[in-house]
Amino acid sequence: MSVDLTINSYFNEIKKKKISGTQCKECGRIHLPPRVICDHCKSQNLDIIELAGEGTLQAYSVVYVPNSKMVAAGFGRENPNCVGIVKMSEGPMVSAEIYGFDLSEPEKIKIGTSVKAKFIERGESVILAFEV
Amino acid sequence: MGNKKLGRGVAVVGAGMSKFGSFPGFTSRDIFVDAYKDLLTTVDKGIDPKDIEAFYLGNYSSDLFEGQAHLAPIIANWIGLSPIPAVRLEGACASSSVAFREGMIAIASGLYDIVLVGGIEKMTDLPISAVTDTLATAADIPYEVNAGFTFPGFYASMATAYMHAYGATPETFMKVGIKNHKHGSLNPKAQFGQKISEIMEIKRASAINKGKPAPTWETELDFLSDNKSNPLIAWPMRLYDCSPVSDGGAALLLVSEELAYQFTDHPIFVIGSGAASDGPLHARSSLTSIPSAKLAADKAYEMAGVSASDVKLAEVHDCFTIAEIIATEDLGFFEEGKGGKAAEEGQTSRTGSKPINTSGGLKSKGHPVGASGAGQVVEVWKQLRGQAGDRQLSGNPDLGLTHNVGGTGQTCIVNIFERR
Repeated sequence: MSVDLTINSYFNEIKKKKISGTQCKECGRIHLPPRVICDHCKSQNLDIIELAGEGTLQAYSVVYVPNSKMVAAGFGRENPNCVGIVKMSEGPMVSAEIYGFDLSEPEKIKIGTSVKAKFIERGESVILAFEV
Repeated sequence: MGNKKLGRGVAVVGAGMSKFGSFPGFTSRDIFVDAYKDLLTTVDKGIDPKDIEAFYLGNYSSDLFEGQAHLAPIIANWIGLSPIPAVRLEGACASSSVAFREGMIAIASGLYDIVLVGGIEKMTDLPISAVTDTLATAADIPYEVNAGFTFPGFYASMATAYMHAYGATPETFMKVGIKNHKHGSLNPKAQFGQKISEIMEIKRASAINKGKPAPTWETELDFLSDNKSNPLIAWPMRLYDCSPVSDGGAALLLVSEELAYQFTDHPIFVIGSGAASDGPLHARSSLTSIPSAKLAADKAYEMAGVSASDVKLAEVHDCFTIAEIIATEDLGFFEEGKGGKAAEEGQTSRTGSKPINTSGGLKSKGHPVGASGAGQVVEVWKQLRGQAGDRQLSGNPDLGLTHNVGGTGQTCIVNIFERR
């Protein structure tokens, strides 16, 4: 295989608590999760860069019927999990678990809130989440 | 690349469906037989099944739902159509619109004259947690699902973004559900044959029967705002904002324009079709619209030579109530941010200026995911032929549209139909 940046290599960097994206050398666009081919200009010429881990909340939900991985992690109707889409200060957006809001009043969660990366160790994996 | 047209015209001359609902003990094969037999009764001048040249079947995940793959030849054989080519198409919840489009393209190419298009899903054998996980495989597993998302969570996130951008409230979404349940109460094939008010009275009677205190709901909005009767699934989406888990099948007979009148004096022509794909929700330019839906709609309108204002009725992908509001904006029926208000004002009801989901939509009719797109065509076909029974629109509608989304918009297909 000639592909050195893979889905798994990204998560291996997350295990080291590094948010590793890519930046297109042709059009300058920054990708997170990292892309090997720029979806904007189609270039294959990208650099790996580290992102600072700061962003703002663009959309969110509080999930009362979680997927089975979240159920295994202890979430459910009595202990819902907050998910959101975060726009990184460098530009790209990611999906992630969000911590630090009072989930008993989901209507009070504010879009636009600044969040910072939080690495959660869960079993064998490390998850990139964000907290207020 | 300019405006592309079909190589030759394509018409729908038959359209049938099973009832949508929960059918324990019936496999997808059994359910599709019901839809296929219904289709055969709708071809006015009859069809000899020996003349069907190919079968395009939309199905999302019989592998995971039933432990059975390779479904197209299995179903083709079961309905007696072997050895014609039979292929299964998968585009998540848009699977049967993908199948429809491939069948349409095959006829337009000149390869076939008569094609059967189907859609089928048997979802209710699995427990709800396994259904949630199976549906989640339509999203990006490492980047979205492993980040804690579920499908209700995705659409709920679009809903919070929409509320933030345009000032909608949870009541805005509830009103879409109330409207679609009202429409579905007129559809004998719908999973929920009841208005929200009727469901409310059944629950009230049941509580009193069990010796519990009588609920104090006065209005449908009271019932829908009660955490007990309408629990939160993913804020702000509650149970009655979500389409149900369903079993169901639908079947369509597509023929070349030249042959259409051999089968009926009232064919319905496909005059526009558009399709697009996209990446995950977080990678999009907008969280309050579905870019692939806008693109698919633009292509369909361009091919048809019509605009949003010409469309008399539309079946849109209301897998969640927020999705219907966004759909009506993406299709150009209302300006961005105005779809919620239009729904609240009743503009999208059967008697409004732009009737949406006269069948009850996925919300009330049911959402057997691989059959939903073909089911939408069944409704538009019946409405354009004046055969929609109690829910028939007045004014002889002559132009209808279907909008079918796979995932959160990784796939979208829009088709436009005309009665001449």
